[in-house]
Amino acid sequence: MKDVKKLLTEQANAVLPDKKVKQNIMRELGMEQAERSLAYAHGGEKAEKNKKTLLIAAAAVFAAAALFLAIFLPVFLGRGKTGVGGGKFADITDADSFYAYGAASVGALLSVPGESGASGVKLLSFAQKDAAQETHIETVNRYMALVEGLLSEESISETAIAGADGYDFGMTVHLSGISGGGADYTLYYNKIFRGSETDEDETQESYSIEGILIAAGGQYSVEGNYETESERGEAESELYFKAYTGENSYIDVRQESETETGDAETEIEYVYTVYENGSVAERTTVEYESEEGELELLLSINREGVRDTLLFKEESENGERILSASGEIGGQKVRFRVYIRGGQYHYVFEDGSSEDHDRYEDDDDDDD
Amino acid sequence: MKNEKLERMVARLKEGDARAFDCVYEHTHKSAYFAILYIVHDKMYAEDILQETFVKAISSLAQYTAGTNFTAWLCSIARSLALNHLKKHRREVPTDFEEEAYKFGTGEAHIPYIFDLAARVLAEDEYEILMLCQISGYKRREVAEMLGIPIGTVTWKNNEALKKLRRQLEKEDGA
Repeated sequence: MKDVKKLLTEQANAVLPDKKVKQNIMRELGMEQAERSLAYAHGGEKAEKNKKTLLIAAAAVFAAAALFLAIFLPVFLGRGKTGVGGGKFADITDADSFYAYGAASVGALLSVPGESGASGVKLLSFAQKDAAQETHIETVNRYMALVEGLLSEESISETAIAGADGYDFGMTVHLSGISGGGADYTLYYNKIFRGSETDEDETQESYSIEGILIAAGGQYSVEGNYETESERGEAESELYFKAYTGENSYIDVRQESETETGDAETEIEYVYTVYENGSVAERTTVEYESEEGELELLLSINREGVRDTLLFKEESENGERILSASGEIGGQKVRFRVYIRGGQYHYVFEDGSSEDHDRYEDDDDDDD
Repeated sequence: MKNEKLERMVARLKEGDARAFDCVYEHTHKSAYFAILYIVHDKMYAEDILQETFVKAISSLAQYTAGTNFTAWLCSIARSLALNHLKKHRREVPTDFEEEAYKFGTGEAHIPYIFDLAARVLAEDEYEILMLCQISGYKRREVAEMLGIPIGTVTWKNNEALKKLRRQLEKEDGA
């Protein structure tokens, strides 16, 4: 198969415009002369002074950022590590770990059998409850593999593999289940180093990817961004990973963080947005909470104007690893337990009713 | 670069701050260049028209309405100048050999075959998106902002353009 991308990038320099075009334009507009005379008029000092000012400002920003990180990073990283599974978000410290997390978590959402992840939600009625108590349990089910992965003892592991399909890099990512097993996802991608850019007093460091994600036999175009920006000592970052399921349909996961004024603690959450034909169909927030030293995962799903909120924690029942959940689904308070049996999630509700739903597709699943 | 920042630089340029030119040029010239190249298929002419485009645009910056997408405005000037160039040179009919010179590396412009093929088989928007994403090193988000279209459309068209080119190359190889 022809590697079109390679052909294009290899010959890019032969087609891009020559640098002399810019000089010609500046000369024609009289700009080159203006710049030169400005520098000469100040004996070359003004330009130098500006450069020095910029360098000093940049150094000050870096020093402040380094000091800030030295003081607060251990606090941020330490948070959540005391829990049962260890906060997986604390392991996301660089572009590679972020993209691995993006691939695993979005892959998990795309791998639920019979659902594309961007398809319409199916409402489920429980015979024991009246019609008004229809729940969004199938929507919740799509997030179960992710919940498992985030509450399991095992870290989300990534292994570098050779690039393929026209992409220079590759990685396989393993998302563990709470009772072993789990699922693997493959990401092939190209890195786009944006380098660092200093413009006025703004410093940017950017690095993005584009590629494909292979999850449960499906292949999805993906793109990601891991960008940090600091301006006047204030740090900002833009971290996202997107997997496309159609022209204007995709799942987007991005990191959001919030630091209260005067508070050393930064709250990190991951927001998953499902777009269908350019419109937001579902928005889900995932964040860790710590209750008496135990780590819990809070899932808030917004869909069609309804907000479902569930707090999950991993428990042991007669030696079996299970998930217990409590919260609100479809406006009703719920409490249920989830057992992983026979490649399915077996939901058992407080009233004794139960339902089975498919787990993610994975041939290597060995926890039956 | 975000559009707001580009707009700030354009405003500074409008006020006569020549130092803003560098930033404006670096973030817009590739869009304009590929819009021209798609029409003229010749690197040398494309460079000349790019120069003409910037001179004309900067000289008539007063006509640009702030906040209405500077890159799109610049590209419309570029396209218009490229079409004028084509009209002017229409009477010059190349020989068969000259027409296929790019294949043999004997053409003056020396545009690699893959780029000429792209200009022939792709729709204008596909070509522009492919060049900006694959050749110019812009992020899809940036391309979406530049062209004022959703990012999903950028991704889709970029992938479709790659597929079309691959199919065409395989077809030619098989012929």
